[in-house]
Amino acid sequence: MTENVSRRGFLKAAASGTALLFLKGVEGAASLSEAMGSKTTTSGHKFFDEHQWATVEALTAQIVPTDKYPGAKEAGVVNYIDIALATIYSAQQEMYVLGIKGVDQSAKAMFKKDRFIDLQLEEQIALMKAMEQDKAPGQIWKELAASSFLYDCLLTHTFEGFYGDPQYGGNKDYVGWALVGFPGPSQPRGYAPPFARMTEE
Amino acid sequence: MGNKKVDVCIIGTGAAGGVMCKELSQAGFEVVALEVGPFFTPADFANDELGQSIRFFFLPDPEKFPNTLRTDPKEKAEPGFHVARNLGVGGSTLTYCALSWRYHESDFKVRSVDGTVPGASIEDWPFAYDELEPFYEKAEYEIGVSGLAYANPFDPPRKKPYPMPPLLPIGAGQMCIKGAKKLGYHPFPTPMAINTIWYDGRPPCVYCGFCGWYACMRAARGSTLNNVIPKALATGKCDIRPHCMVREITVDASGKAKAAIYVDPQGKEQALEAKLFVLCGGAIESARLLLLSKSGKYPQGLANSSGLVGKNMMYHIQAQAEGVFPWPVNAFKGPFSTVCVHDFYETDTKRGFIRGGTIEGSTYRGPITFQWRRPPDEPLWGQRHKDFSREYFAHWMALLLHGEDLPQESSTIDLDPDVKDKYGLPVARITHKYHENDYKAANYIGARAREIMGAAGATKTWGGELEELHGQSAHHMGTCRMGNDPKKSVLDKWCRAHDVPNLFVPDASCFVTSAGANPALTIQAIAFRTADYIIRSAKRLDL
Repeated sequence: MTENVSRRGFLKAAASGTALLFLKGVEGAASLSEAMGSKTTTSGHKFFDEHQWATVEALTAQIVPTDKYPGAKEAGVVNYIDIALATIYSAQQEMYVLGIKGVDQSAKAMFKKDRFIDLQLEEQIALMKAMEQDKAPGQIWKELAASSFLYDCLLTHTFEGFYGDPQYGGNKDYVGWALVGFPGPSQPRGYAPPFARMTEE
Repeated sequence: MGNKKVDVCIIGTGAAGGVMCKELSQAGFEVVALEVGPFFTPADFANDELGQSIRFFFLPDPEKFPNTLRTDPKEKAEPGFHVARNLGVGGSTLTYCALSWRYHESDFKVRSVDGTVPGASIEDWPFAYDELEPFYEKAEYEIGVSGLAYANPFDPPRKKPYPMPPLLPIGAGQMCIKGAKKLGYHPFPTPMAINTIWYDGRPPCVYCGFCGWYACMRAARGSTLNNVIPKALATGKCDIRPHCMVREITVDASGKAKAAIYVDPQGKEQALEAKLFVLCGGAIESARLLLLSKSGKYPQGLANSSGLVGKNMMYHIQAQAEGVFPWPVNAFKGPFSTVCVHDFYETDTKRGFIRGGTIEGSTYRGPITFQWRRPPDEPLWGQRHKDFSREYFAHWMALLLHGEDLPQESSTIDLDPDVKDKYGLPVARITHKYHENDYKAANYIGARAREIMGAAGATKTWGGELEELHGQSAHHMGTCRMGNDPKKSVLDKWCRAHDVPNLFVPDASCFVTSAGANPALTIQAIAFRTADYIIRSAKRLDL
């Protein structure tokens, strides 16, 4: 399997715990005001309009799908991202605005449907796989690397929203922690030995 | 409001600066310490991966404090996050993993033991292990290090045991013991600046699992914020000033350091005169400040008549082997490292490289960070990714290694010609390329780490190759190396600048070689030694 540059670079940064700052250095593309020209403020959300919200919800639902366990949708990952973009991650607003337009452009070029959210689930996956390889069609992706939007925004923030503390608006009812068996904050009690098993019982 | 002249001005309050604050104020000197970051309290700390560890609560904001990096001196350096260090009182000991090593005897004489290597600027340190030994002991007792003396057959000699028994092996430690013993290696409990009993008024560790990359909520881990700095403040002689950025050290007509010029929390420029200056900003920022302090007397920057300020910059080599087991290893319980292996620390010429390193322990930080821990053939999103997370979160572990990064004169810190920080000052530009020896060493030891996990029962292992992290590593050393010859070194054996008699730089800048293990305790032992020298020489230093 060939790893693309973004994945390699990202893994490196994530391994050393600097993923966020690594991507903070990613330059945005077109001017924010231009990209946000049509944005309405009547959605009731903190940052996204209804279409952006639905698109990001669909994208995150492909990153952590719903099976017999809850996925990104049930965890409220889009709510987490919406809050984060309106506050601490405001520097990445324009990447989302552009990226959402980008996936709609790719949906049109690849499947002749106007919006990403109109695609079949298999089509959504195919489109995101094309993004991963920077092969997704569309004008926007000349300004913003599709793989960068996928890794630096969508994957990064989906994992934060699904596996992070619920106080930030995601991981609703602790579904992310329950999925993997993470007990959450452990102070002041911590853990007592034995910490692990040495063999299979 | 003006500043009155004080005895000692300390710049930076991390591993070295904290020690200097305590030692010099307890000796009766009037000390002011200038710290660019905030003064955190325990209420600022939490078991919260997203809030504390991912959002880099303690790290410099790359927009306000960027650095630039390049691997080739012909290229333009790119701005970004290239230096992992904590800003705040306590410095990088706020969130460090707390491995507390005594460097081996050979580490102080690499040139004598291993000779020269093309492209590398290897020298002996200007003192031997024996000279530092009493200060390692002092550091272990003052900082609070737990460990088991004589358990590591490769350890240098010591006179006293550790002040506390070692941590219990966590899951990754148990696996490391099992695998390493099977392969005939010598695993031993990691010396850690983490309390295992009540010690020095601080409680023992409860294995909460939010350790390296987090500040300790209960002060069980020995940050200078909670071990030496409270004692410095208790003397009434030490004034620690957070949010103060020093931009220059000025000199008088005789060439002695005169005043630290700094930007105070209100953004106003201040001058602080002192009889003695102790620079403890870490290997990046200490070198940068010296280079920023150009004057008629020192046109190349302060203490830089040798031209070596900023040269020979070293990180450690780093690689990470990962694996999954059929049974739960529970990486989320306990501190970063409890068991280490030093069988690959010393030079073995049969391996095709010199020096070596330490296989040291897990690198777990939390379930968010875990999502990027995947074998190269596993996807990073989708159903299979979710399945892997669910199946292996509790069954995964890693063995990280740190090893010796050979010094190269071409690896440097200098002032970036274009990029400025939020104070309008040129940022430190890092030029660093790993040496061929570094790749061989990291990949060799990384492969052994994978074998250890395999022998312990891992069903799959991956990784273990050199990670070209450059500044994303938190270990930076060597930019003002010590030596006896003022033409070939910046500092003398007491960390005093050859050129400037009232300027000391007892942080990791002084390292001559990087050794194969985490630097914190050696930084602190050197700081204790330098403080001892300053106190003994007070009359000569006009204090």
